[in-house]
Amino acid sequence: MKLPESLANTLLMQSQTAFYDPHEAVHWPDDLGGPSWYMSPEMLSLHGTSWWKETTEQEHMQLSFWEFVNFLSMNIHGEKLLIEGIATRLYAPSLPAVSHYLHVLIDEENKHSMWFGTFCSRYAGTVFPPRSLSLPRNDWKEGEEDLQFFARILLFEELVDTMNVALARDERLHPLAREINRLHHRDESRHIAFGQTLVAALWQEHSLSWQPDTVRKVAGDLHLFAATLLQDLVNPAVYRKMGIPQTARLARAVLDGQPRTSCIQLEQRMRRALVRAGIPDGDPNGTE
Amino acid sequence: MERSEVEKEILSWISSHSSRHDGGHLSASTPVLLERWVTSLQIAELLLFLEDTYDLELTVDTLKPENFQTAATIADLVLRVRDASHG
Repeated sequence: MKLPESLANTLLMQSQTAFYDPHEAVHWPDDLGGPSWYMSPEMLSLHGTSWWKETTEQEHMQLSFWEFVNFLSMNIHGEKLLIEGIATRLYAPSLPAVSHYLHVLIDEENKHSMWFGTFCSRYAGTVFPPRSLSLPRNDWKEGEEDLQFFARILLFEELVDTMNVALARDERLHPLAREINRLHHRDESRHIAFGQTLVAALWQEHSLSWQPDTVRKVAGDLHLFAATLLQDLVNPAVYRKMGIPQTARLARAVLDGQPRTSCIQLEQRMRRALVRAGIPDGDPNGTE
Repeated sequence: MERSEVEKEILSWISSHSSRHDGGHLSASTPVLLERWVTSLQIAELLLFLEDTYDLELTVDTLKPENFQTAATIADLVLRVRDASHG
């Protein structure tokens, strides 16, 4: 397999140049001040709904705060899985050329999680728990486990980075929210470049030896995973914090309703990342 | 709320959301995770269905594979959490 060793070395040098102390990178005020936006209003799950029309701008800002906490919580749980999965693959025989860069990935993702956790703990007093179950599998096809792991990381990073860029640019947002998104994007662009190349290499290496049925199912799983990432942006725990009744019913209605423009754009970004890696649009009823 | 009714509704949800189309038999004791009637990617949607249908909140301590092994264990979880929250 042609592993992206030269790319890993280039990114490694860039990471060394951009190295920073996470404790110094962000200034944490004692409190956040008055009402403010933390997510762009158009990105909020209830934007345009009857709830939105019946409530005040101050309540919309409050929703943006809790949805930002949910976004950061998603990041924390995603990066925990990433760090765990990368750590188990350090110096793996299947990935011999990129281990040094994997060390850097772990370091940078850990720094991000420190920021996310600090914001959630300091200003919200909570990190929302994940709404997922990790189920072990023992029926992987050859190369599938690494491919599924790195492709899911790529999808996760595409999603959060697209949001990071939009949120960092939005001048309506609280400066701290913009800064966290800006700093996260600075590292994520390197991680995505690495992930994109590695996933393409893994797909090229392994998919040729799989039966067409396996190829369809793996591709389907990955497209389904992208859809579940979008679902995670809608969390009943957010609505509970807002004092909204029947939170699960509302979340289901949001997910069953017309997709918001921001979600369509996020899905397109993730889909493009898979297609760029050579992974076809698959059976939406994946196996995993 | 009858246990048999809860099991029936859960089985109906699993049957309509499963990607398995091989004609396998699904009952209250079918190991739905092991046999992939329900996958990890469907858990979040199942949680919303349970919370909405039975008016309950499933906290992180309930999210263990053993609670989701079969429609029967899921029904047990629903009834346990509902009893605890409704006194």
